[in-house]
Parts: sequence; structure tokens; C-alpha cells
Amino acid sequence: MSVALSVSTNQSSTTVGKRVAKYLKGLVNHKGWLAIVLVLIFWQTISLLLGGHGLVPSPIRTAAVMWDVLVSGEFFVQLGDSMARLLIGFTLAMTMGLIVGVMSGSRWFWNEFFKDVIVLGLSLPGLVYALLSVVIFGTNLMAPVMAILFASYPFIAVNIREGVKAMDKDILDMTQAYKVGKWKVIKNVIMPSLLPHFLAAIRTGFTIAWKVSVLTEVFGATSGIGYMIRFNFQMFAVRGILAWSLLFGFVMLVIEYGILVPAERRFARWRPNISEVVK
Amino acid sequence: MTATTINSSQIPSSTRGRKLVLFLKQFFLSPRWLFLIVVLTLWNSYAIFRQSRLMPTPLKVGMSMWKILESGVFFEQLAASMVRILIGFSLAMLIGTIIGILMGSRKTWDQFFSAIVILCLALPGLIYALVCVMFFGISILAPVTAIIAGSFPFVVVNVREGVKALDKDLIDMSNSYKIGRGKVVRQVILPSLLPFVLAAVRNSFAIAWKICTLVEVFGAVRGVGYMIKNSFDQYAVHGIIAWALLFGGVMLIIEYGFLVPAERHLARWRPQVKQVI
Repeated sequence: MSVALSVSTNQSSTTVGKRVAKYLKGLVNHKGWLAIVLVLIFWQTISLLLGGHGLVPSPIRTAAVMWDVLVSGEFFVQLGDSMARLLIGFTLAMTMGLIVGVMSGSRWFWNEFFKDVIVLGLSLPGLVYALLSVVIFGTNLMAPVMAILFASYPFIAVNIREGVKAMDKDILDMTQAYKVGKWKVIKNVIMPSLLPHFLAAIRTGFTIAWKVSVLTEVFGATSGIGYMIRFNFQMFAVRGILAWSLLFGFVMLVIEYGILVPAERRFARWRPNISEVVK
Repeated sequence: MTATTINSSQIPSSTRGRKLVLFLKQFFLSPRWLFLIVVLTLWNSYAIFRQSRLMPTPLKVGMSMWKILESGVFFEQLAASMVRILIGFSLAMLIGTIIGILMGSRKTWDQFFSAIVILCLALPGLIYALVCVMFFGISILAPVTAIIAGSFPFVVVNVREGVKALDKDLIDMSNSYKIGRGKVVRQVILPSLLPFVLAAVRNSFAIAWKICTLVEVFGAVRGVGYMIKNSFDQYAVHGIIAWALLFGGVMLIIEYGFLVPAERHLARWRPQVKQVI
């Protein structure tokens, strides 16, 4: 038994090495690079044809602006401002979305009560929230926080509602019949079954939140990524817009695909049907 | 046999009437009206308390909605926006469907486009709007290009899943029975792809009209987005809310009145697809 075990662990260490090698090889051979290179060549050609300055900056110039912004540390200053607003607004949205979602998932009355406002909230563009909160609250912190709250809580509420609805009633009934403590039920039954939906809620809500946050900063803020994009727009500096938005988009992609998606996969592992829905 | 004739002739008509009564009862006694009343009351009392131009009463918003509708301004601007949305959306559907089919059927193309599709999914509509306004000014190319860039990835994702979900056994069988290509496309591939295409239409349409509004905010002289921007510049909160609610209402009607029922209808025969949608 022990021999077999050691052999299998030994094998697994070599397969890990092989897997890493295979993964790296797959990454290098991935055809996605070809597409990126083609797009860059196309972009460079167009910018050369149009004179190489002004409206269509070459990718090299854009990359130079990105480098400047990164090295001077300005990016991190503005990112910090944006992230602070984003996190405050998103925390509030999570709280509100959780309350509304749990209420409408567990009781018919509350489901009907909140149904319309959730549908309306899902469909109104973030622009409306951004403009309204800038007009009403001005350029202070309240504007982005309120815009994020109202734009992203419906997405959180919908996910939580579906999670509550999808809970296994039989198991809950069984825990009651066996008189399992309330705390234990929450910890061992409700939380594990809600967690994948909760993580999906975080991911979709966060995506909406940062987009609305940038939009609010475009219309009314004196710092932050959105403000810098607005500033470059007014200067007619396409390279600035592209540099700031690509950098910020990259940070958000890293947060989404580096942290949120793997977390979802991990917690949805035990439920194949959900992991397929989440993807 | 007689039992079935009685069943089909008498009971359904009475249950249909009962169903209608039940539906009406459910509709009018639904707590959704309570929500509306609570929100309007709170809003109204707060607006009266604040007495500020920045906090219009619901009545004022309703009045300006009525004024916009009655004077016909709304329909003029809606038409201007709809033309842009439809042109951009059709092109996005076309491009997205082609790329989606390529990605769903060949691994090389799947890898080739994956990075670009993920990047385009992730970038906010704002970027497309700003860059297109700077490139193309107030010409129609600005909203059309922005809509294409913003909404084609959603089409690609849905169509790719549809192509991947095609039943290979059925296609193999039609091959071995030497069924004509046109017939296979018409009777096997299209019906199985249709629900996914409709999901693509719904998703990307929702993105398309939002991006169109954004483009109109930054660079346009007509359209609903321009009117919203106009109200914003005048600090007219009631104008912003009125235009947004009217436009959102029209889009909700298009989505839940046409697109969702069409999807349900065409996905009827596939319970597992219906659930995903």
C-alpha cells in the first residue's frame, strides 16, 4: 500500500512537471498570439498611412504612454482613487443585493414586490445612474458610490435569488427532522449551496460596478481613471484614452480571470451542473 | 373515447375562463403595485421636503414624460437612435455569427479569436464610444463602429456555444443516409442553432442600445442619448429621468415583448436549452 502510494506520488510529481511544460507549450503555440500580432500590424499600418500622429497613434506610441504612466506612478495613484470608490460602492451593492436577493428568493411576496424594479434596474444603462448621481451629488464621493450601488445591486440580487431558489428543500427538511442546530445547518447546508451563486454574483456585480465607476468619473470627478480618460478625450489624445483604458481593463481582467473565476470554479467543483452554468 | 371528447370540448373552455380570472386576479393583487406605491410616496415626500430643482417630484417627471411623448419629440429622436442601433446591430450580428461559427467548428479559429473576444468583452462601452467619436466625429460611422465593437463578442460567445452543442450523431447519420446538404442545413443545423442565435440577438441588442446612447452623449446632434446629455447640461434631472425611463421602457418592450417570447417559442422542443436561457 505504502509502496504504491509513494510510486503514485512520484508519478504525479513528474506529471506535474510534464503538465507545466505542456501548459507552457500550449500557451506559446496558442493561436491567440497570432491574432494579437495581426491586429497590432494592422493598427501600425493604418497609423502609418494616416501620418502616424494625432488621431490614430501607432501601437508603439500607445505603449510608450502606458510605460510613462506606469513608471511615473500616476497610474497607481489614480487606480487607488478609483478602487477606493469602487470598493465602497460595491460593498454597499453587495449588501443591498444580498438582502433583496435572499428576501425575494425565499418568499413569494417579496419576489413579486421586487420583481419589476430588478428587471428595470437590469435594463437601464449605467450612463443614466452615472449622470443622475453626478447631477444630484456633484463631484464628491457620494456620486460614484450611489451610481455603483444602483447599477450593480440588481445583478447581485438576481444571482442570489436564483441561488436561494435552487437550494435543496429536502435536505433542509431532513435537518429539521433530525433536529440539527440552526448554526450547523447554515454552515454545512445553506452556505455551501449558496456559495457558487454568491461568487457568480460577485463577478457579474463587480464587472458592472467598475464600468459604472469609470463612467461616473468621466462626468464628475477630479481624480481617478475615468477622470484621466475624460482629460485625454478633451485633449483629443487618443493614445492617452487607449493607454489608460487598456491598463485599467487589464487590471480588471486580472482580478476577474485571476481571482474571481478560479474561486468560482473551486467552490462549484462539487456541483457539476452549476459549474457548467457558471463556466 | 367518449371521455376524451368531453375532455376536449367542455373542460378546457371553462378552465381557460378560470385561468384568465386567476391571471387578472394575480396581476392586480400582486405586491408589485405596493412596491410602486411605496417608492412613489417616498420619492414624492422627499422631493417636497428638499424643494430643490435637483430633486423633481414624480409628478413633474410624469409631466415631462407626457410632454415629450405628446409633442412627438420622443418618436423623432427614437427613430434617429433606432436607425443607428439597427445598422450597427445587424453588422455586429453578421460579423459575430461568422466568427462564432468559425470558433465553434475549428479549434484553430477558436484559439485565434479567443484573446480578442475576451478583450472586447471586458472593455467598457465607454472606450468604444469615446474612441469612435474621436475618429469619426458626429457621422453615423461613430455609433455603428462602436456598436459593432461592443456587441459582436456577445454574439460570438452564444453562436460558438450553439455550434458546439450541435448533435454530431444526427449530422453523421444524415451524412451516411446521403441526405442533401440544403436539407441538413434546413432541418438539422438551423433548428438546433436557432435558440442560441436568438439568445445572441437578445444579449447583443441590450448592449447595442446602451452603447448607442453613450455615443450619442459624446458626439451626436440627434438621438435619445443626445437629449439625455442635453438635460444633463441643463441640470434638468426630470429630463434625464423622463428620457431614460421612456427609452428603457421601449427597449424593455422589445426585449420582453418580442425577443424573450420568440426564444421561448423556438426553444420549446429543447427543455435543456430553455433552462440555460
